[in-house]
Amino acid sequence: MKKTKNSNFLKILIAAALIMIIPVLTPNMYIMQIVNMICIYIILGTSINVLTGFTGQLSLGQAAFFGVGAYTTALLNTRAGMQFFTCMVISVLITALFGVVLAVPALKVKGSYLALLTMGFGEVVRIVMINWTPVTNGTAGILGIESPVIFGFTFDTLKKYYFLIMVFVVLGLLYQNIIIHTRTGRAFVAVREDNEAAELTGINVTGYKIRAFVLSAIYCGIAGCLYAMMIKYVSPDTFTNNVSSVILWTAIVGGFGTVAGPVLGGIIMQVLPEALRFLGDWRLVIYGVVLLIVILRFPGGLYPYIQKLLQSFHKKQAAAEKG
Amino acid sequence: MAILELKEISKKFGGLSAVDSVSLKVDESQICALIGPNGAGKTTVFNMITGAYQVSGGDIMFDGKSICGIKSHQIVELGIARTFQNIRLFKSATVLENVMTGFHCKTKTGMVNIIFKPRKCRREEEETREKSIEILRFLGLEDVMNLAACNIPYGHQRLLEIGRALATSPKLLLLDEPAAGMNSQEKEELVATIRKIRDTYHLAVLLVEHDMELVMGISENITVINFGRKIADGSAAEIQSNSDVIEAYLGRSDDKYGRTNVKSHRPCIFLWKY
Repeated sequence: MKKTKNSNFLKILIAAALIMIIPVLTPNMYIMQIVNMICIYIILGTSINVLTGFTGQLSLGQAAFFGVGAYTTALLNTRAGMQFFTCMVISVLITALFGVVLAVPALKVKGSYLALLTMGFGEVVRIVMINWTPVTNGTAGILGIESPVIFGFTFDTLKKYYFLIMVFVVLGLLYQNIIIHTRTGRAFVAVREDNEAAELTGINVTGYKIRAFVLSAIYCGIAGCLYAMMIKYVSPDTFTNNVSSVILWTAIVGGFGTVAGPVLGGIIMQVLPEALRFLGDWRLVIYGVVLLIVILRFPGGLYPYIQKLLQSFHKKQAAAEKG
Repeated sequence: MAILELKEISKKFGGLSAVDSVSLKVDESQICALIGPNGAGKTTVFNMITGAYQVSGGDIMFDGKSICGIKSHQIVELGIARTFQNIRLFKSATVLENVMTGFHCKTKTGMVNIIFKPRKCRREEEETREKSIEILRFLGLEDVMNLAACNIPYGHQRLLEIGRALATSPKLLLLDEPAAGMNSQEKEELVATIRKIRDTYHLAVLLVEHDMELVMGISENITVINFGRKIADGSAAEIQSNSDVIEAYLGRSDDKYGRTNVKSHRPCIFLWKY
């Protein structure tokens, strides 16, 4: 017991050291920007992990929640001059509301129909962003979002901003890690595994599906708010179906239904296209091929595979110590 | 005192009457059985009790209150748990997690109060775990509690389903063909287990089963339905000598004078042990 506590403490220490050291090691703003995007995609990957990985509701419209969060922050900041925390709270509330709005029709459908419905939702939101010009400023997008100021401290550079995002990444992952090991998490899994059996085990399936949608939307709202304040510009081009599928891929590549999966997925999905830039136009082809190989070779995602490797390594080590 | 009382319940699917004014009573701590040939409407009755179907007529009283029109998960909360004919576990979750899921309606940890009352939630979580392990120990499944539910043997999966149902701390346990696919030794163990569950948890059991040996051996009261209608109820001995029941199971033969003769089938019925 004491040993596990110590090793847990060590893990936390290593993680903290890694988090602190990353901005020191990054040589330029370009890479810092990628690191920050990784962090935002970790939150987005976590959002779809709640909905699809744990509750089994396939969503292809996560970009819509992401966009609603970003636009809310952008509007509140530029039009009403609100500061970071107010923007964040209202963004979260509004995306949560959108979560409920999507959940109501989504309760009626399953599987591929649900995927189509969520995809349609994503498109609707994007088209509203383009055409509701008086509010969203159409395709031109919203410019001039201010950097967040918290207690007089301005997060104006990417390096400073990195720490702000990291706070939310860590809190988001922690919350998910806690919640999936409680009654709520078990209810999510029960809904994923068997709707009817879950209902007859005393779980309000409808309620938990709505909760999953709302929680997922909240994660997206946080990511959207952070994104808007980092890039300082939002436009409908940023929240296309393509983004929805990148979010989905983030969770798939990392490993659906695992807390650490989206972390791994976020890193791979953001680093890969940048690393392949030297290939010019061929990079998207290679990108696709690499992803195909990943899902064919590691069907459950990379994280469960790595976990297995580590376990067998530990076993071997233990056996070697004994023998 | 009756824990469950069906008052002439009916279920119509369009023009088809699947269940037609069936009455049934289950007393506290009683083991009852509902039998009938295939398609008689047994599972429909179960589905009505658990709220999966709405009754077309009649009333279902549980613990003195009508439970018609209440949602399934609320009925579970009131104290009716069921198992399924074809096992429906949460396959990728572990055995322990399956049972812990059963405690859902008896616990309170939610998405918000986990943030504000972490200590209370952690205590509740530990209690749930302990109680779940207790149930698994009771059913003899503690050795496999960390395996995925789909990886344990068939007989164990059936027991685990009962364990998950027990976790909701029911007053009435509905077992839908608990012995399906079991060999005779496993069936004997099952009979012992059902009795043990009744005695330990003080609950009533209502089971649907095709295996007559098991039904006759365990039930204190048996209700027989055929084509959606109740044709008999009573103790095992009464059921076995009831001509309507024999007719329903074995058919009728008319002798050369046109008189209905059911007695000639008696020996077959006596093969049911009790």
